[in-house]
Amino acid sequence: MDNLLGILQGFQTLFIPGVFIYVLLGFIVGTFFGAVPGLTATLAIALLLPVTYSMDIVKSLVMCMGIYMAGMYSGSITAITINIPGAPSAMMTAIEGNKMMERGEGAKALGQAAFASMIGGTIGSILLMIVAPFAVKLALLIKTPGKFSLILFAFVVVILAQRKSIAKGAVATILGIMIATIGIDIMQPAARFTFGIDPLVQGIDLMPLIIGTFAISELLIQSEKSSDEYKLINKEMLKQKISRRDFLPTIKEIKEIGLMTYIKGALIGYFIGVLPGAGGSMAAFISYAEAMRSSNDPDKFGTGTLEGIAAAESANNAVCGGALVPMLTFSIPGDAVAAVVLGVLIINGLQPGPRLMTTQFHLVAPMFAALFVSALIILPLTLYILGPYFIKIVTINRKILYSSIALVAMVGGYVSTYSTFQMLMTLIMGVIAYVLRKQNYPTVSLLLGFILGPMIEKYFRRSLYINDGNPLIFFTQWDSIVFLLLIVVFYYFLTKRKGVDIKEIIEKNRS
Amino acid sequence: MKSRNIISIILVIMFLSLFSIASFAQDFPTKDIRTIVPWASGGGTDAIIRVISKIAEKSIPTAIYVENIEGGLSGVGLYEVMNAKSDGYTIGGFTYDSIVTVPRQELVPGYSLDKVKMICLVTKEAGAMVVREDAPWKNWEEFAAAAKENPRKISVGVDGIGNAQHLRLLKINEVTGLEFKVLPYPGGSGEKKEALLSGEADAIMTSLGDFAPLIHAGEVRGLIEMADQRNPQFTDVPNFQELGYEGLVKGSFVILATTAGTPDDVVAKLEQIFYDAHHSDEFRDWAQETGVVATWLGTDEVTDYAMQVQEDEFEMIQKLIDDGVIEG
Amino acid sequence: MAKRSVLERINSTSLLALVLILVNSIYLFEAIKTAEPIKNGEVGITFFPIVASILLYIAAIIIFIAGIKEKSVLSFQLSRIGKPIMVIFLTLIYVLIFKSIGYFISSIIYVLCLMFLFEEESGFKKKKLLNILFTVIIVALIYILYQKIFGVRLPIGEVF
Repeated sequence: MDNLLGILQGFQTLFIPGVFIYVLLGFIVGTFFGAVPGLTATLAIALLLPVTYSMDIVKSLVMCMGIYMAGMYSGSITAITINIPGAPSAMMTAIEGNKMMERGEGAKALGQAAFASMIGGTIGSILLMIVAPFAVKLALLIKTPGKFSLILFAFVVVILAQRKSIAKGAVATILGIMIATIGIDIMQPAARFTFGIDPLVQGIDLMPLIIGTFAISELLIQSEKSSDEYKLINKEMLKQKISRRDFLPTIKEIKEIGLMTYIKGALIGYFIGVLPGAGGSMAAFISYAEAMRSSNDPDKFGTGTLEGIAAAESANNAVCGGALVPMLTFSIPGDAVAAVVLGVLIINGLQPGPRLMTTQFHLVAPMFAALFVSALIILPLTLYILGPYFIKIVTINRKILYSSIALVAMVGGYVSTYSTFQMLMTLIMGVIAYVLRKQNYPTVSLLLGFILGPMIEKYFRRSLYINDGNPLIFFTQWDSIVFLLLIVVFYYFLTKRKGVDIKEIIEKNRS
Repeated sequence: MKSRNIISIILVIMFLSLFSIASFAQDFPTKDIRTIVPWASGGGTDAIIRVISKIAEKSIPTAIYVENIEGGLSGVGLYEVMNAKSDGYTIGGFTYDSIVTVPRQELVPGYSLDKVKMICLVTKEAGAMVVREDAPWKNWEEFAAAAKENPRKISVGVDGIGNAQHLRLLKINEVTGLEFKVLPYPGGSGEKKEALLSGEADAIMTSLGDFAPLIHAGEVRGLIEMADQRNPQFTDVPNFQELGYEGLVKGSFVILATTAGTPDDVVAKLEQIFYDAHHSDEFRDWAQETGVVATWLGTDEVTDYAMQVQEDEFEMIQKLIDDGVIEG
Repeated sequence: MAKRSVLERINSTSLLALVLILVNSIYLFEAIKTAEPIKNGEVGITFFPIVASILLYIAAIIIFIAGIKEKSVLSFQLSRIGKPIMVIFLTLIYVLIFKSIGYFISSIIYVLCLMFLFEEESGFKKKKLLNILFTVIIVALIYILYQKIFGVRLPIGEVF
């Protein structure tokens, strides 16, 4: 009851104009950083760290929430319109959304992405307000062996989801894992895979990989096209006149997708957020795979479906609410953005933890309110107002669009690491991704391999430490067994069902 | 003709810049000071350096800005400090790993502490061991007794195999004769908190400051600290010294340093700037709030201190390798 | 249809698979050189990478076999890859000069060259001034974003 009152007071604080303006400001900054390849919400908050020191803490926090929610959503804008996801969490949206854009259904895709983000973000922040203590207890039940099996589950699904080309999916995933092993070992102070090149000891940062696989590879693919080709494709994309109404998803569409898809997406996203580690990209992916598993027609995924967008976007925005749970209750950040927000709190002399949630709830409640309002009101409003302009990104003169993207992306690579070596890596990763894309290898799998690879290795090695070197631990701990069983279920649904058996997939692979 | 002009311009600029460093040190700083944090933004070391430099900035006409350059267990970012101009406009934050692990393992080629001039030490955190509040052991004696009965059964979380906290635990083993099961949690203090609260690890090697929110909330208890006097913020946590163990005073720290060859008066000016910030109420209050132990060592003492730590740790690591406890 | 030898059947699919196998071999060799995968019963720093490497061999061989069964043959369209190679080369130059000559000059050169590359076949000369104008605006906007709004220092060049 006390909490409810506190949250209401949080909303009251939020709607003070002098405070609310910061949520709006944050949302605008977040939309920009999320949408532009090479800039991320994490970077936005990290760059704002010094500013928050001289700012009122409540204002800093509500601003961070605006950035967070907007950053998770707005990656979908560039993902759909120009096939460059602004953030890794939007990579599944790019697969479905850009196909729709090419068919001239860009407005519909953008509308669905915003709608699903709204639902996911709202459910995520409601769950943050009411079930946080319970959720964090649930998350603590999943220990290292369970996390190993969860990531293994994600890997199996990543590979199986490439229904038409499992071997290529496997190659891309493993390449991602291998790139991540370069540098200093995750558990010991020892260098590995430096191939005699000294700077490689610093490893390859996540930013070069994101920018390379998304922005640089797309830049290279676009540079192949002559301007006549480009104009022809664009004409197709924009054949209808677009009005604001086109962005609103129809009841029929929502019914076809099914309310359960949104709710499942939100729950998956929230829980993956609560679980410290993976974050938005894994949430979007698993939710997408679950939608594919339960779909009547899994083969339509990858051809431009609203269902895929709905699943991915509802999940990644629900991560926001989830990732704050362990951060606020035990000062354990759920994802990269939550980790920087933790820094904002500490620099301002606050200790996130059980005490903060009780004695200083008046500082935290506006944050919850800001997250909720960002998702439910500001997010759909942004699309409604700016949607037609988003679509028009593709009408920007091609040379200006792509040369600005190249510049922002490369400079973004520099700013996130302050190193020209990582800029060079950005280019190299871009070339690798380009070659892979030319041969239809899924670059999404490359990125997931890179993000999840170090985690699975860490969990694997630690599990062995826990069980004195005996690998049977994965079959004796129930948290691990649950995810191993899930692998079997997904394997069955994604390969055996409806006559689509593994042999046929291998056959398809060959042809 | 043209190229000769360019050369002469360059020579003039070089001469002027030399001149400005050499004789205008009393005007220092005339441009913004770059501070490199070799760890991720949002972490503990990042917070300490950001807060002290924000306060220090107020007393000088220019800005002090922070750049986070991660990688190589702090080696990559600090390598930048080593190769900067010797003018005092580039500062780096050095921690235990920067003084011991990186040089010892030769992780970053070209990295050498000879290339830096240490300015001051701003915080010092003793190593500590914590357990859950509901753990069956109420104090160190009970914990040690349980460990003696079940060698290698009680699990202790450390940051990585062969890293600072693992070495501290091995030192405890050596002095006390106990043996534990070691679990590595290299993902920062968040991962360790998770492991302790979920019951995966029985105890955690850390600093009390890192676990302050959970200790204050009554979720976690400080068992013992590797210090020679009690921590002013956690006075009920005993230390090894008072229990009669020798050689168990160990911990981490944050040292600020600039490039070697920086003129002495510039270093003195930097020391003064940070001394004032360090002794301000604002910094002290912040440290008190967040569980950071503010300690001051000036330019005269800090290099000796760091080199002593390095020597002691190298010696200990060598001994552990000779005894076959860890690998080289 | 005449039977083709394996060499004749190499196409882009199987060629890339071969490159992957080669790269993978270098990786595996580096792993074995670095440390033993399992030492004294403990999993070391190269155990996991070696497992990944073995799995990659399997997947790459499957693709290779599928590739040589394909009907297509190796063919290069130089006109298609000409521009991407130019973009790669330009970006490489940009990275190399970024720190030493500074953000402004390097970025202006980079963006201007990209504009030229992405330009319609004959348009560049006509719109020379416009292109330079846009380049300066883009470069200045990014400078304002970082330097002025976020207080991030972009390199001004070491020679200045």
